[in-house]
Amino acid sequence: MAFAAALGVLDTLPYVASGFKGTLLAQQRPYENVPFETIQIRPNVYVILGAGANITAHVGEDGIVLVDSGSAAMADKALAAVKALSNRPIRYIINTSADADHVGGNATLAGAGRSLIEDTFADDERAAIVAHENVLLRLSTPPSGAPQLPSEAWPTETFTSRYRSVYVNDDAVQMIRQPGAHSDGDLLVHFRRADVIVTGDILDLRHFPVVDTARGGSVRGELEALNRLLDLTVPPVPQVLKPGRTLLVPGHGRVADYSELVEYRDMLTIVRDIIADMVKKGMTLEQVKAANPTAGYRARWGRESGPWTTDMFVEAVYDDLTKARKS
Amino acid sequence: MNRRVAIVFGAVLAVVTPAAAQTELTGTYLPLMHEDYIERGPGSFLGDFTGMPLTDEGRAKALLYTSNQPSTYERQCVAQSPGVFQYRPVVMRIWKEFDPEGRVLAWVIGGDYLRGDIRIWMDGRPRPSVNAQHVDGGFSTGVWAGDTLTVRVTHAKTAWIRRGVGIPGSDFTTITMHLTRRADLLTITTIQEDPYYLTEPHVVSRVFQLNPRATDGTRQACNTANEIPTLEDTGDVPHYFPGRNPEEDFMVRTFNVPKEAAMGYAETLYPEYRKKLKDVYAPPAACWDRAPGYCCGWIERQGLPGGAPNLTCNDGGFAELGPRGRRRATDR
Repeated sequence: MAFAAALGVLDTLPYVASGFKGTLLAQQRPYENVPFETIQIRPNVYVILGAGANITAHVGEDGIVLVDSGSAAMADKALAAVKALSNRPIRYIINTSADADHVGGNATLAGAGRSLIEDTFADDERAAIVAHENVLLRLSTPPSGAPQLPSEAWPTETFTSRYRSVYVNDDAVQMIRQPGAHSDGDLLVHFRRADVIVTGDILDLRHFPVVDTARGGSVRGELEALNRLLDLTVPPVPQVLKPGRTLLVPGHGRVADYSELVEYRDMLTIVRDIIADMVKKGMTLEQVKAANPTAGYRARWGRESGPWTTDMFVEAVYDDLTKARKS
Repeated sequence: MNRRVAIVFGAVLAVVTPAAAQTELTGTYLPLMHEDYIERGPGSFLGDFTGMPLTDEGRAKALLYTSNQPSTYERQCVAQSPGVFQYRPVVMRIWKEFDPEGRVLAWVIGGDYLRGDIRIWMDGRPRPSVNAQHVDGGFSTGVWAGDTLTVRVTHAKTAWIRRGVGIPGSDFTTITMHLTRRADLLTITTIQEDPYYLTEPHVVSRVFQLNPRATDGTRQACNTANEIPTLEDTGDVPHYFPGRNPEEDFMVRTFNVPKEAAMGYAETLYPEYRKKLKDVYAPPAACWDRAPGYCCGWIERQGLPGGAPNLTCNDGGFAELGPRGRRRATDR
């Protein structure tokens, strides 16, 4: 025990398998309850983790550009973390989707900022909230019975085109629309000089990708998004031992790079292929689920309970494939 | 008098021996290839998971693997597991880095372009949080226990433990290493644990030899090329389907190895399992006739310079059974 403590083993319990025998206890699942903290990943780029979805902060002389704002419950804490990075105002909040854990802090964080473009019709100054048009539609017209965020949390600048670009903090910031992937409002946000791409939930290192079919997501679109992301992400080739490489901030989980994206893309592609093979054989959804098509990936990426289970993921893939066969 | 000698001797020792005993590890080391030659040289047999305490998930993932995967453009230069030096037939270089006060800040195990440098921090720094980025070589801290440097590696990435057959390791794998140098020989024992893919620790102990004349293994470049043109820009990923891996029975067909041993069940790691097999195992005739007592090793350079010494078994029946069509020794 003394030796374990000396090596810092005890502070890495998520990494230590106890109980072995091929099972992993629920409390050891990575990234379920991560500590709240800010991690610097570039000289002027930070990631705030543990506030719902990851919040990326790009800091410079023009002010602060945030990508996503975390959950409403963590908004005050997130604001304090952002203020600790710079005394410059928050200029933009860019939402990668309409998910509550990505937009929940919009009102609080935008209210503490000031847009680069003066809004002469507004009563007070706020940061601009930028998102795809569908995010505004989702937030302003929630499904019946679902809570509605206050209008202060809604996007103030939306677009419907493939790209929206701004040049802020001496960096080219590209918002790249990725239609019908995790949802119908997904954006990749590429900070070109910093060489950081914020992926939203297109890349989610907690579990199998969440494909929100009720809000326009699709497995095919998710795979297209991951392959597009691979095109944009530069690996450390040929100087593989040097740290230089494109960094990826996923919607949830640690900062990643090319090799982890490849693993995630390969996982989804292989599982999709296996289920497609079963669909081709005429297997029903229940037969597919019973055949455990995610074997090999289920322990690491699957969940047996919670908001996104392995069964839900398999069902999303199955539905996507059977729809494709019918169309 | 004796007491005085002892005191002087002790004082001398105190001067020459650091408070925490340690050994000079700096140098370039070569793997001793006669140890587990097959694994370190030509590579694993197809479908050979022997010695790996795999979970069902680990086995399932390994059986989806095809050797085309590391040939894909995306994976050609992706780093392998930090512990892969136990299997790689390449030079390993160890050096130390100092802080401004001249104290050893870190030992580094490097020299391999397909494995991230393992930088072993010796300054007692805390381990990064669960939120920290995982890196190719993992995050490592070390302590000396006598003359053995004991290292713990976390924050590694998903990577094959043995790339040749796709034995998987997850991004939550941990490795404990013990490095002990005796004269020119360096013994490294690695104990790898994985909450997803291993049912119990995977323990490997290998010996490396200091070789001042070796090339120092500083190659740091890896380039990609399109090795599988049909995959270009398709997004396709080569893999086998569950239950349809043609390599799954290779060890059974070639060596009569029971399937549970070939497929990496923990029970087969232990001596008791040999006893269990003692009266039921029958070596394949083609091999046994030619090399009684030593069966079926694939000794690629048998009798040639660089070949493993004192091993006489040759093709292991490949000429008759295997897909590679290797010739019998008698046909040469």
